[in-house]
This record gives sequence, structure tokens and C-alpha cells, in this order.
Amino acid sequence: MSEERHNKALEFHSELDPLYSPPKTRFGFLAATNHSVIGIRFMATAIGFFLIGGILAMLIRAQLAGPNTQFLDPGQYSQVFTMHGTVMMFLFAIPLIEGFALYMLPKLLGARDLAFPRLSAFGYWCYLSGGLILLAALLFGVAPDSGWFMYTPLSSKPYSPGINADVWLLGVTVVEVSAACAAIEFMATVLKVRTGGMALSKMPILAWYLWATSAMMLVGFPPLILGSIMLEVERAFGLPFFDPDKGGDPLLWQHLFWLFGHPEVYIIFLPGAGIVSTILPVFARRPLVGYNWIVAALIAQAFISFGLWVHHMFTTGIPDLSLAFFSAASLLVVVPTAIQIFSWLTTLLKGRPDLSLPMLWIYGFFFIFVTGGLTGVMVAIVPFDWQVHDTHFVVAHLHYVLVGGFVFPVLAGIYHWMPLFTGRRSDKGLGVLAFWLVFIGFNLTFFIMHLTGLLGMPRRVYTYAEGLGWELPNLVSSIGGFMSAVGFGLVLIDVLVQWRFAPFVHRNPWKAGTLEWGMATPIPSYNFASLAHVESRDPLHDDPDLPACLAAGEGYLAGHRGDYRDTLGVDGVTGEPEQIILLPPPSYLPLLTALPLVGVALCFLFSFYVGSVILAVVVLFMALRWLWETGLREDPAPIEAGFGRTLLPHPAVEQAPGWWGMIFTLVFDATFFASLLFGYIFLWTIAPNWPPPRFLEPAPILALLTLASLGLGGFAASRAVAANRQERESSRSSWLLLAAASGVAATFGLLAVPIWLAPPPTEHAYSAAVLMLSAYGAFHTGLSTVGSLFVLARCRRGFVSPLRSLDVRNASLFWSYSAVSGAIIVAVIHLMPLVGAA
Amino acid sequence: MNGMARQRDAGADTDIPGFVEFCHDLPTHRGRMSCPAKSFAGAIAATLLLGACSGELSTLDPAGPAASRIATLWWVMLGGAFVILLGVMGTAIYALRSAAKERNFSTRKVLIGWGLAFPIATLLALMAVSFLPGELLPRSPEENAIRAQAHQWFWTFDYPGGERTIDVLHVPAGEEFAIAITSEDVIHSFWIPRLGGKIDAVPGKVNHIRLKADRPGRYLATCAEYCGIGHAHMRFEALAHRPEDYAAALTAATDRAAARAPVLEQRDAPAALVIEEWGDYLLDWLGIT
Amino acid sequence: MIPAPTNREALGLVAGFGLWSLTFLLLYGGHGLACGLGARPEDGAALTRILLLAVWIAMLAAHGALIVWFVRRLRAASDTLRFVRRASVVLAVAALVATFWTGLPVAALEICDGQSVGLPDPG
Repeated sequence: MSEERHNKALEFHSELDPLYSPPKTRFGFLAATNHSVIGIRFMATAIGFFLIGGILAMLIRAQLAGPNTQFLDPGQYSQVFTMHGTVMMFLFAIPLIEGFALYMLPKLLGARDLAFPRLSAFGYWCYLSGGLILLAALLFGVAPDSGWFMYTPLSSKPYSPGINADVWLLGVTVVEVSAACAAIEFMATVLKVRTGGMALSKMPILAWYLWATSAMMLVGFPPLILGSIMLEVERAFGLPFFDPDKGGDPLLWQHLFWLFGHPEVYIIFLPGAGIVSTILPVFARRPLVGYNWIVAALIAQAFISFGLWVHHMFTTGIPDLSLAFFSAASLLVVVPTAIQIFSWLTTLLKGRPDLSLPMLWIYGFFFIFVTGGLTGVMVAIVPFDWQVHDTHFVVAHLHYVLVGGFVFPVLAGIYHWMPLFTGRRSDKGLGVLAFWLVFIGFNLTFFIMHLTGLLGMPRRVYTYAEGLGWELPNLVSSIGGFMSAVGFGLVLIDVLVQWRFAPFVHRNPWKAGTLEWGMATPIPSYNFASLAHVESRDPLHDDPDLPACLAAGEGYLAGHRGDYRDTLGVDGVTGEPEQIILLPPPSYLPLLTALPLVGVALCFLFSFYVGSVILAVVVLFMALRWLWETGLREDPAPIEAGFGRTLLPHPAVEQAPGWWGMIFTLVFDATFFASLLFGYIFLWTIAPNWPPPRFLEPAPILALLTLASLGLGGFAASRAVAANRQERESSRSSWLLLAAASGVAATFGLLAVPIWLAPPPTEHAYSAAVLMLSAYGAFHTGLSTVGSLFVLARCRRGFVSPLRSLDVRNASLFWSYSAVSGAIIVAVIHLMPLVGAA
Repeated sequence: MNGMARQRDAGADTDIPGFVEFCHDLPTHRGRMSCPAKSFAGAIAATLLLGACSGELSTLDPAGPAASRIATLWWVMLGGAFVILLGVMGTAIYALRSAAKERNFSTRKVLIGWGLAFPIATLLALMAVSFLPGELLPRSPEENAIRAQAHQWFWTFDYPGGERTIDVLHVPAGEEFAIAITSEDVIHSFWIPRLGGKIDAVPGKVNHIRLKADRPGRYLATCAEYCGIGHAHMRFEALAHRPEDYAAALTAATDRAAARAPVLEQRDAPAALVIEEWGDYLLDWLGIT
Repeated sequence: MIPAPTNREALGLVAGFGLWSLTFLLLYGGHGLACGLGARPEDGAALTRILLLAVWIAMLAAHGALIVWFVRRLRAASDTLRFVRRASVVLAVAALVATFWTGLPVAALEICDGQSVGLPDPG
């Protein structure tokens, strides 16, 4: 770099680094919102949980090493295997993906942060708290013990009377709040928060993978959250959703769980595949073959993976045709996977790969994941599944795909991106030995486990008798388990040693082409001193000087434009710069909103329901306080953005990230609602002991009044948007007040049903479902009411103008959703009894 | 494993299907080889594989038509899987060889041929195989079904003639029998591995399965869905009788059905006691009961 | 409230598989509903099969229409939009294949037959 550029780079660094770093006060770290900081927190915590999950695995293998072992009793063993699965799936895999995406996405996309930095921080506190709740339960001996998928009725109150199951339901739900927030944020970020010129076709493939993963999270988690809420209220209040004697159905839980559970494993696999797609071309020294094919394949895979869930239920007694749908879809999903695999092989064949340490892990991934995929094809065949379902064959399969498809790529990623985290790397050290120990140990453990399952050993047995042929395979598995544990330990040591002692390397030691390598290593808090304008997928290959130019301020948004953080917002498809996204400063609000939310869960856990209600109100208040901090009090002037352009900041733009955030939140919400409707129809048509002893009293007047207030509320909110556009302020206020009043009426109309008109919810699943639907509707109209009043206050304080219309447009969007979903609820609740009577 | 299965063995046919029949022909579940092996390697391989396959709960030691078909399907799929795995790993490792010659082949042809056509063809074939009638056993409701009820942690069987047995299922050998399965409490699963696949016992629902044991004998069975701390001990056995002996066996069995199978024996597990003690101590200290 | 024109292009990426999802819902849900309402191989199966086949064929036609529409849009695409529109066409074709594959069982297998068609045990 020339002298002049070097000086400019230092100048920018000294003004940007303090602005983007977390506050240096004693408790300042609690207020951090910088994505690299939060991303590393997520990843480090996730790795901590991985080690805990690994210790639990060692306890399992110790117990199963021989027949009739007495190391753990069945009660303890059930907590151990349940927690092993729960920790690995909910506290390790998903959070690691979240942390990785938090850390990587802005860098890949050439930006300075994600769309909603405070939401990232909030997500971390929720995750940490949920994880600590589960961990505490384990230490106190009351960990969940009905298996990580918690089948009812075993996990219902009569058969699991302790708080173990409640810990799972509430703890996992708190953790999933973080996943939901992450999904919404990643969707908005990949769509809008990219550097200039980065059209969709120029996005790094890893960004596509993470985008597809977030979309899957958005649609995949609501069924789980719904099911958890339903089971928790069944346990706490006796609403019989899963009790067949009262019109419930144990299989409803399985459907809701696996509607989440199957996409979950593809949510875990896709980022791993994304890492492979990123690393493999770098080490093969040629661009990825079949970029377009892979984009199509991963979108197809994201969709198809939602059509597989019943393959976890092949033995529950389902009509043959239904079995066939899911068997067919389970086989179909192999095709997009095959396209990705053959793209990778072709990239290898056409390139000049060498077996560096990250590539060792990638090759390990090939072997293990392909094996897992092949056994997956086998279990997709229904008659074969009828033999191996719920045996160790499936345990072997799932570990092959999850460890092969996720853990191995992650380890490749850690070694590959080590220079970003630490600025150092080395090929000497324990890395190769550690890899072989893990690889050989893993295969020893799980390869023979296929046979163990075929020999008839079911899952989740705490011991087994002699003479069935299970002794030797289990012993081999246990030896392999300890071997891979040692291997993982060595990996950890190797990474830590490299972190501290490896030699510093020149930036971009792998000569990769994507933007995350375009900054100084270890990366600065602000990522880029100025943002790039890109013309291709490998901007660093196009212009090796690019990092130096950016550091010297020769891009968009050089330095800072005030005492605030900002980054570029672009058109979603073309990548044309469109807006400047103002980023919030560090704040304690995420923590202060997360704590009462966790409090709600804890109060519920200890049956202190009044506390839950009070703290829920506190959460609402904190959320409004948080929202108050957004936006601008005056219409802004356009700002210099570099390359001769001036752009408006995001509060003054139509397609601000916040608007997309509302859209994606509503997608999440709609999926939740669709799952609720599915549950209602399922209970109605399939559950035993229907019809219920009595239906709702007919109340057509109430129904019509509720519909009217819903319609009026939605209409009023949209009129407020129009009034705002035309700068008719008093009209706008009147419409907002009318919307609020309609909201109150609609809430009353919806709540009147379960309170006065419907039979008691504990009597039958019908009335329980009516209560749930009404509560859902009322919750939304209640929030719409609060939202309308909130926006009114915002208007009064000058936050809303024809240019700065985000508040009122978002409120109107939410009102429309509440109105439509509310109308469906009213129709379903008031009309179904007429159908039922017929 | 492919190679091992193909070892020449004087006393039996040795293609994979033949091998399966070899396992299948064993007179008892304890299966000892009854034919001399010519080559030493063949004997070792066969013994290892045989020893590895056999077992009272082994799906690879089938004793009925459903289990046999599935075991054969397994061996075929295993063979195919090995070929594919070898192909993929072979290609990946081959790519490591320094590019002595330019690898100039059409990406599009590879992706269409291997990425699309090959998987679609293979999967279509698999789909056809799995949907063929006979692969999915017909299971219309049967008036003469034996009613099986699962409890935590034992099984009761009620026969059409009114008899009842506990943890022992009496069936006729050589002919199909039907079971209607439900549960009294949580979800369990009914599984006789050597005869066929499993079916869940779901409270509030009755599931049906038809099975057949080729020969008289004792076939071990187990619950295959986690149902609480007694799950690992929730076994039962299926006794297949010659049709002419069946009625008598049933009558005799009922007379002996007085005592219920003992539930889980409480064991003192050292580690568990310590953990429990500490857990109680901590809970006490926090004032939580 | 409508997304900007270029952002709407991104919807094209999910339109094809959106149709597939709808088909899956209608076929699986429709079959489940029919069985829950009492259809059996002896009684009601034929009608159910006809309805399901009609849905399947209708959705395949909808896929076809979508592909035709997207191909037209691709031909009219400017440079910046070409990638998204081409991807939309490819995905629409893939979704057609997926719908065909997913619906095959309706043509091949018995309606509402299986392991739990007995009435719940009164005892």
C-alpha cells in the first residue's frame, strides 16, 4: 500500500474503531450490538454446549459399553440421553449457525453490520438464558427425560409429573425466540444490506445458503413453538390437546414436532453445505462449478424438506397413500443434494486441490455425509423403515448426516477462517492428528452401530441383556466414542494454541476472492472503512488492490458521517445502492427486554402465573421503549454516499429493512396460525372421542360485530397510511384512534367466546382449541390496539411524516394481518359447530 | 462386506440372496452353521458374518416372509450404497492427483447425467420396489385379530376365544395371523424383528398388523418406543405352534397367566445415588421441594 | 404496500415450489380429510381418488402455465434481471417434476387403506 493510502487507512481506523466497538466501561459489554462480538459470543457459547453434549454422549457410551451395566439407573439415563439430544440440537447446532451467520453475513455481503443489531443482542441473551435454564435443570437432576422429541402422552402430566418436561418446553421456547429473531434479521439483511453492485447473481454462494436457511427457520420453528405452548398449557391447566380420552390426540404432537423437526435437520445441513461450497473452490483454486445449479438446488431442497416430516412417523398407523407421499418426497430430496455433491466433485476435478487441513475435514465430510445420505435413502423406503425405526440403525444414520453434514464442515470452517478471527494460522500442530482421531473414532462408533440396530437393539435403552449379539458392537462403539472424544479435545487444544501462538499471516493467506477477506486481520470492529462496489462474485480476484482502496476510504460511505454507525442498503435484486441504513449505538435495551421475557418463562415454570402476566406487560413496555428509539424526528436531507451519489437514510425510504422485518415477522406469524388451524382440523377429523359433549352456543350477532370491528380496524389503519401520505395530520390521528377503538372491540368480541360462550377448555380438546384460537386472535388485536396508540404518540412527537412513514405503514400491515387472521378465527369458531352438527 | 458375502462355501449357495436364504434356513434362533466350509477364509468370513447376523432380535435372521423380504432388500441396498460411496470417494481422491492432463469435460453433462438422471432413475426404481403390492402388507381389519394392549411395562394379549396371556403371544405357525394393537397409557411399539416390521401402540387408536412365522418356535419381541424407565425391560415373546397344537397351547397358557410379569427391578446404581443426593441437597438449599 | 418491482422478481424464485407446496397440502390434506370423514376402500375411495387426481392434474397444468409465463418474462428480461428470471424458470420446471413425482402415489395406491382403518376398540 502506498504511504498516502496507509496514512488514510490509519486515520479512518482511529475514527471508526471506537465508534463500532462495544463501550469500554465496566458493564459496557452488556450493551454490545456489534455483530462480530455477538457472533463470537454465540459461537463460543455453542461450542461450550457442544462439549457438555459430548460429555453426556460419553456417559451414554460408558453405560452401553457392556451388558447389564449399573453405572446409571434408568431415570438418570433418560435425563442423559434426552439432554444429549436437546443440547446438541437446540443449544449447539442452531446457535452455532446463528453465530456463524451473524459473524459472516455482513463481511460476505460487504456491509458493516446486519439489519437489526439490537435484535442480534436480544437473541443472544434469550439463547444464553434458555440454555442456562436447561443446564441448571441437569445439574439439579430435574432435566427433561422423555427423549429430545418429548412424545406425548409420556411427556404429559400423568406420566411425567415433575417439572422436567416443563423445563424443556419453556427453556427451548425461550431459545427459539432467539432463532426466530435471527431468522427475521437474516432474511432482511441478505435482501437489503449488501454493498453496492452486489446483485443477487453476484452474492457469495454462502449468502444464498444462509438466506435459504433463514427462510426455513422462519417457517420451520412456529410449529414447534405452537406445540410447546399447547403441551405446556396441557400440563399446567389441563387443556387436553394430546389426551385421547378427551378428544386430544398424541399424534398431533408428533405432527407438530416433526413439521419443525425435519426442516430442522436441513436447517443444520444447509450452512454446512454452504461452508463446503465456499471452502472447496478456494482450495481447488478455481471458482465453484455450477453456481446457478446450486442456487436452484438449495431453494428446491428448502421447499421439499417441508414435505418429509411424516417419515419420522411411518410406524404410527397411517394410511398407505399418506406413507407413499412422504416416502416419495423423502426420495425426491436426494436430487438437489446430488446436484450439490456432483458440483463439488466437478469443482475438485477441474481444479487443483491439495489436502490442507481444512480440506481434510471436507474430505471427511464427503465420506461421512454421503454415507449418511445413503442410509437416509434406505430408511425412506417404508418397509425397511418398519424394521429399523427406533433402533440404533437410525441413531447411526442421524449421526452420520448431522456430524458429517454439519460438524465436519464447521471444523473445516474454523480452520479456514481462523485468520479472520485471530490473524494467525499454522499448519503445524495437532490438527492432522486430531482430525484422524475424530474421523476414525466417529466411524468406529457409528459404522458398526448400523449393525447393532439391525440386530434389534432399540433406541433409548439404558442397558441390554447378554446373548443378543449386542455386546461386541456396543463395546466397539464405546471405544470409538472415547477415541473421538480425545480427538475433539485435541481439536480444541489445537485451535486454542493456534489462537495464541501461531504466527501472524498476511491478510488473505488462501487468496480467496470473496469480501470477507478484504479487510485487515484480525478483523476490525467496523469491517470496512468504506464499502465496495462489486462487479462479480470474486471481487478480490478482480481487483487485488480492493482491500487497500477500501481501507483508504475510496468506496461508499467512507468513515463516519456523524457520531452514528451506518451501512449501505441496496435494491434486493439488482444491488443498486438505494438507502443508507442507520445503525443503532450500543444499548442495554436488548438485555433489559430479554430478562423479563426469561422471567415470564421462569414464573410459569414455577407455577407463579401472576408473575408471568406482570412480566409479560414489562416485556411489552420494554419493547415499546425500544421501538421508540428508532426513526428520526425530522425529514432528513440526502447524504453523500460516495461515488457521486446521495442517498436518504432508511427511515425516509419505502423499502427500509424495518418494513421487510415486519413482512418476515408476519410470515412467521402466519405459519404459526396455519399450524394452529391444522391442529384444530386434525383434532376435529382424526382424534378419537369426537364430537365433544357440547359445542359453542351459537352467537351470530357477536360474530358479526367482531367481524365488523376487525374490518373497521384494518380499514382505519390503512386510511391512516393514506392520510399520512397526504400530510393530513388530524385525519391521520382520527383514523389511528378509530383503529385503536376497533381493536378494543375486536379483542372483546374474540375473548367473549372462551370466557362466556364456549364450554370449559378442560372438558374436551374442542373447547381447548377454541380457547387457543380466540387467545391468538385477541393477542393480535390487542397488539394492534397498542400499536395504533403507539403510532399516535409517535406522530405527536414528530417521528412520522409523509417521507418517514415506516411506523404507520408497519402498523397498518400488522392490523391487516390481525384483521384477516381474526376473521378466519371468527368464521372457524362460529361456523364449525354448524358443520359438526350436520 | 460384498466380498465376504461372496465367499465360496461348500454347503450353501453364496450369492447375496443365497446367503440370505442361508441365514433364513437356520432351524433355531440360535443358528449354528450346519454345513462344512471348504475354505478357511470362507469359514471365518461366514462365521463372522453369520455370528454378526444372528440373534434373537435380529432383523437379519428372518423367520417369516415379511422379515425375509426386508432383509433381502437390505442386502441389495447395502450393495448399491457401497458402490455409490466408493464412486464418490474414489472421484474425490482421484481429483487430488495433480492435474497431469486438463480435465476438459462438460460440466453441464455431468450435472445433468449424474446430478439429475442417475439419482432420479435410481430413486424411481426404489420407489417402485417399495410400493409394489406385497411390500406393504394388506392390513384390513380382521375379526379374528388377537388384541394386544401395551402397558407400562408389559403386554397383555386377548384372543378371539376369550383367553388372555401376559408377555407371551401364542400364534399359529405357517399361517398369517392378525394383531390389533393399542395402548393403555403412553405410546409403545409392537415389534417381533424376526417376523416383520413394527407398529406403534398408540392410546386412543387401534393399529393392525399381519405377520407370519414360517416355522414353529420362539421369537423374541420387544417394545420399540421409549415409554419410561421400564422400556429396556419391556420384552415379550411370540410362540408359534403348529396349527394342530395351537388351541391346546392357548388353553394351557391361560391357566398359567395368573401372575403378572414383574415390573422393573429397582437397582442401586452408585453414580445415580450420588447425583440424586446432591440434587436433593441443592434443591433443599434453594427451598424448592 | 406492494414491494418494489425488482423485489417482486424475487417472488418468482419461490412461485414454482409454492405451487408444489400447495399441491402437497391439497393431496395429503385432502386424502387425510377424506379418510377422517369416513372414506374407505369399499366405500368412497373411488370418488376420493377422482378428486385427488383432478387436483393433481390441475396443479400440473398450473405449473405448465407458470413455466410458460416465466419463459416469456425471461425473453423480455433486461441484463440485470436475467439471473433472477432464469432461476425462476429453472425452479418452476423443477417444481413441475416434483409435483409429478409427489402425486404418483395417488395413481398407484389404494385410498385410505392401511394399518389403522379399524374402528377404535370399544373395550
